[in-house]
Amino acid sequence: MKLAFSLDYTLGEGWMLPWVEGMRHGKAVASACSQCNKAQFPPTRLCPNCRIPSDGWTELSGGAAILFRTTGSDGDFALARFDGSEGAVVVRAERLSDTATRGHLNAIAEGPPSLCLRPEDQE
Amino acid sequence: MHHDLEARLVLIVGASLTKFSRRRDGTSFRDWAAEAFEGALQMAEIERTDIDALIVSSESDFFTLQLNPASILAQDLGLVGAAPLRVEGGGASGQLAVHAGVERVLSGRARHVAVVGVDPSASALSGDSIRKLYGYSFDFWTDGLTGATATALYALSWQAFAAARGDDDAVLNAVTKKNRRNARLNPNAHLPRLHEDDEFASSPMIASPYRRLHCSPLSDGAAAIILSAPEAAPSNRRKSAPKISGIGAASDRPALGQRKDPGVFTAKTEAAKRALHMAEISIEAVDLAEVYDAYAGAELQAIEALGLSGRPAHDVMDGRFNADGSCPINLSGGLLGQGAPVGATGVAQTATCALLLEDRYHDGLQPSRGLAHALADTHGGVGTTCAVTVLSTGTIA
Repeated sequence: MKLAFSLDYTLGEGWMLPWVEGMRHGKAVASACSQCNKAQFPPTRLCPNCRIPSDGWTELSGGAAILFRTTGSDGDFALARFDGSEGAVVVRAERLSDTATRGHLNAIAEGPPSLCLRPEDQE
Repeated sequence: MHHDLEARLVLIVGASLTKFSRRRDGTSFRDWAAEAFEGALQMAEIERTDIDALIVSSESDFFTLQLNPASILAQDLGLVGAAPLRVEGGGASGQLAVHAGVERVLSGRARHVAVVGVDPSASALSGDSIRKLYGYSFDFWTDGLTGATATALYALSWQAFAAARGDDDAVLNAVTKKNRRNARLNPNAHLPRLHEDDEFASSPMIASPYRRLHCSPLSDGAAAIILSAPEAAPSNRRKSAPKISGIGAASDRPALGQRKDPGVFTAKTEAAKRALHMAEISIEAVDLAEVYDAYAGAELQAIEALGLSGRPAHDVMDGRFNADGSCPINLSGGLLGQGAPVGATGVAQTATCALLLEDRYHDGLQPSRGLAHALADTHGGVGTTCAVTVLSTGTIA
């Protein structure tokens, strides 16, 4: 039996809204903890060090160092740490050379937030 | 709460698996669940009316289009009236369902529990659709919406693990060959294969260094076990049935980048410690293990995290975990060889260990030496939701 249908979701960004809005403008907005002065990108609701609610937001430069990278038919992805963030994050590599060690957060004009790194010297 | 040792034990009086494969015969997940359950019930030597609770493991309603599957399966299996529960924890769903069943018996709220794991991971949706849905098994807002696939995330985790230990990717081929070689003697296996070394170089690269051959297949199938309180089990089964002597589960941060080490399965270590502590044995006492090998490297990461070896790559290459090695791992073929109908996986691992401990496993795979303890290891995410079960032999008077 064949059956096909589509689903249209409306998903609230919730506490992550400042992070999502930042990405729409190509800005790396991280959660911050005033107790340990550490920033997390992507944000965490609780500070992973102090286990208390993150109590602020801070804008990072958007530059990131590539730690590991994987390529193949599933796409081009990297584990990267954004400058100023304690934690790292998996990003899609976009137009990065095979030997790139760094990249910059790409703006997502519309649609769902998607973490992409582009070459640092390209807008 | 019971404190004496015997009261802390739960017997596996029945265990059964269907064939794992891509079904093209028009059957449904309800057929497979029934086949596995009836097999386990027959082995258990109890009546279906004896069963107090039904625990169903199924990873996603997207696969079956059946919300509330426990109610439907309760009806199909003749268990209407039994307490129903559906358990979901990604790839760990099946093992968490086993744990839920064990806890039902240990709490005294059930004397006999049926645990049924099932998923149509291969035939219900296209591979691309399944791949997209699996991508939402991690953090939807970051990994998921970025489009990172399970294979890509596992590949990044393996790279971190291998880089820290100087492991060569050749060991990925060795793990794959070992498990699929074992699968050749398992009539239920999805991918019974004897791989030659040169096949790997030509296998398509999915997410470096993982080639298609290093990935477990999407499978359809089901597995079931019947758990019983020792005092409630039929006397014949009470004498020979293995027991679940320890269970342990733990969680890690879903996002690799938010862990201290993206290559280390910390939660698996904690889950194993908890299960072994409950079983009152050390990891050295484990005779064999069914380990979660969704990808070849994940088996090595799991072996280290479980404490089975401090040098997993060396020991794999040395044959320690082969069928004739000192601690066989994935005699069934594992996910790489036997296959992976996700909701069934953890139940199948525990069922396999039970059959091995009771000397009822497939010819050619059943070890000739006596076995005392086996370990089943399952996880969801990339080592995020971890569940470990220890099984032991031993007659209960």
